[in-house]
Amino acid sequence: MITVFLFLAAALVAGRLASRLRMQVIALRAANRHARARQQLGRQLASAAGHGEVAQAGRHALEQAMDVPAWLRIGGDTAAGGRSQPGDTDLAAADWALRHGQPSGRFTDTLAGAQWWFLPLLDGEDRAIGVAGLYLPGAQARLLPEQRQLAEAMVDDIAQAALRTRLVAELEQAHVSNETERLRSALLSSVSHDLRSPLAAMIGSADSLASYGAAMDTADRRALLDTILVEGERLDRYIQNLLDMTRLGHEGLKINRDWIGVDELIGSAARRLQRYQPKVRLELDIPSTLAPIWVHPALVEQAVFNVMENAAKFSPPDAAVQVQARELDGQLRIDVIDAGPGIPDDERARIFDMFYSVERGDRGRHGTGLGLTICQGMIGAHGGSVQALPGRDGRGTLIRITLPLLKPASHDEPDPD
Amino acid sequence: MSPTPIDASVPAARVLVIDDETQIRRFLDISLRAQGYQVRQAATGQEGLQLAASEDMDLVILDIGLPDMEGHEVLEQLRQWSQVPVIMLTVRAGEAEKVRALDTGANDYVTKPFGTQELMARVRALLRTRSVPSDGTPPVFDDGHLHVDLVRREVALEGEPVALTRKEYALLSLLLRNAGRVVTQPQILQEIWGPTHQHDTHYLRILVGKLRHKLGDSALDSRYLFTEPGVGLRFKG
Repeated sequence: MITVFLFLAAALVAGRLASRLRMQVIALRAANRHARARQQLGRQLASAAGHGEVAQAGRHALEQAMDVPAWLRIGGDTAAGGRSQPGDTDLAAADWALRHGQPSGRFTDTLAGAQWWFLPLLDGEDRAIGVAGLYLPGAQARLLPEQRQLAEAMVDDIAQAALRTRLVAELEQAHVSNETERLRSALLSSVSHDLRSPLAAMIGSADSLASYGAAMDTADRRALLDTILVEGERLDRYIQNLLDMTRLGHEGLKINRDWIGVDELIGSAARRLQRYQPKVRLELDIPSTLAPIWVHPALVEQAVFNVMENAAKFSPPDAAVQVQARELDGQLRIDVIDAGPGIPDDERARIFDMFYSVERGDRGRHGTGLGLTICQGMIGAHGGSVQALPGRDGRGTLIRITLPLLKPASHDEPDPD
Repeated sequence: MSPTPIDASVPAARVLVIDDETQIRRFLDISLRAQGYQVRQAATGQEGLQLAASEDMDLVILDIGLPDMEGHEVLEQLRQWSQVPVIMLTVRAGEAEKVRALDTGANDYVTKPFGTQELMARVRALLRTRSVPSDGTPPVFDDGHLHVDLVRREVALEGEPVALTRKEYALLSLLLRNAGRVVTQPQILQEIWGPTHQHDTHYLRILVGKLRHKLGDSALDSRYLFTEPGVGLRFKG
C-alpha cells in the first residue's frame, strides 16, 4: 500500500516535472523559431533597396514565421500574396492602423470584425510609415503571446529597414539636387558669357555708327554693320541651342517621324551652314543610292548641322570638312571629319558631356559647344548614337552619327507612279 | 487712292505689317519703304484685321504670336473674306506651326530672326505671282539651263527635252506655280495622290529624288528644288 502510494507520489512528481520540462522545451523551441525567423528576415531586409523590396521581403518572412497569409503596405508599395487578400472591411482596418499608429482588426478593439490583424510600422516618433496585416480568420479564438511577440518584433524590424531605405533615397535625392545645382550655375555662367560677348560687339558697333558714323568711310561703316549682323546671328544660334537643351532635358521632345532623303537632310544642313559661314569648304559624299530614312526630319537636320558647324569651327581655313554617309548592317552612318587639332584620347568620350562643354567655357573658340551634347540627345532620341573618333589618318576628328533604319508599322513598298 | 490692278514692275504695293514688337515694325517699315512700298502697321490682331478690311492691302506680313490673339486665328478670320497674300513670321523649331500656317492659307513664312533681303525676296515673289491673273497664262520658267512651259507641257534641260512621268510633271508644275514659296507636304500629297494618300510621304521622297535627277539637280547642292526639312518643298525663288 505504501509502495503504491510512493509510486503514485513519484509518478505525480515526475509527471509534473516532465510537464514543466515539456513546457520549457516548447518555450525554447518558440524562442528558437523566433530568433531564426528574425535572423532570416534581417538577412533579407539587409539587401532590400527600396520600399517595394522591403515590403516583399517582409511579407514573405512574416508568412513563413507566422504560417498564415501576410500583407504589407509601405508608402505607396503594397506586397500581397496570392493565397488571401484583405477585403474592404480589412482594408478599412489597415487604413485606421496607418492613420492612428495603433493595431487594428482582429484581436483588437477597433474593427474587430475584420479577418485580419493589422500592426502599424512605426518610425522613431510613433508615426506610422506603413502597415502589416496577418490573416487570422475565425478558427483561432485568441492570439498566443509568442505569436504576438514574434509578429511585433518582426514588424518592428521591417519598419527599421523601411526607414533605412527611405534615408538612402533621400540622400540620393540630395545628391542629384547638388548635381543639378552645379550644372545650373555652370550653365548660367557660361550662358551669361556667351550672350554677353556678341551683345558687347553689337552694342559697341551700333554705338560707334550712331556717334561717329558720319565721319567714317563706307568700308568702315560696312565693317561695323557686318559685325552687328554676324554677332546677332551667333547670338541667335546660342539661344536656339539653349532652347533645344531645355527641350531635351525636360523630355518635352516629341519624335514625329517622317520620310526624308539623307541627301535632303545633309543638303539642308550644308545650305544653312554656308549661309552663316560663306567661306566654309564642304566635301559631301552621299551616294545617290541611299534610301530615304524615317526620322524626325528637323531634329536630325539640326543634329547634323551641329556636328558640321563644330567641325567647321575647328578646321583650318584651307581644309575642307568631309561628310560621308553609308548604309551598313541596317544602320545609317554619317561621318563628319575635320582636319583640326583633334581631341586627346582621354577627353574624346567627354566632349558630349554637358559639364565638359559648359565648364570649358572660354576655351571653346565660340562659346558653349553645347551643340554636340544636343546632337547626342537628338540622335539618342531616335535610338541612335554619336561617337568621337580620331580622324582618318590620325589627324583631326571624326564624329560618327549612327542611326538605326526604322520603318513605320504599316509600310508598303513605294510605287511612285 | 483707288484700287488699281497690281503690277510687280510698279512697286507701289501696299503692305500691312502686323507685329506687336515696335522694333520689328520699325525696321520692316524702314526697309519696305526703302523698296518703294507703302506700309501700314498694326500692333494687335484686331487692329490688323480692321486695317485689312478698311483699306485695300496687297500683302500682309503677320507675326505668329500677338498679344490679343494667335497669328493663326488672325489668318483664319482674314481668309474668310480676303485672298490677300500673307507671309507669316514664325520661330524656329516650329515645323508643325509652319505647316499649319501654310495649310490655313498663309502663302509663305519667314523664320525669326530673318534678314531683310530674305524677306524682300519673298515679298517680291508673292507680289509677282499675284500679278499673274489666276485664269491667265501660267508662267514659263527659263533660266538658260532649264526650260519649263506649263502650257505646252514641255520640259527641257540644256535644250534637250526631258521625259517626265505624269506624277513627276504634276509635282514640278505644282512647285513651279508656287515658285519661291514652300508648298507643304500635306498640300503636295493631296494634290498629287489625292486625299487617301495623306501619309504616303515615302512615295514623295522617291518622286522628288527622281525629279531632281532628271532636272540635273541635287539635294546636296540644290539649284531648283529645295527641301525644307519637316515642312515641304520649294522651287527656286
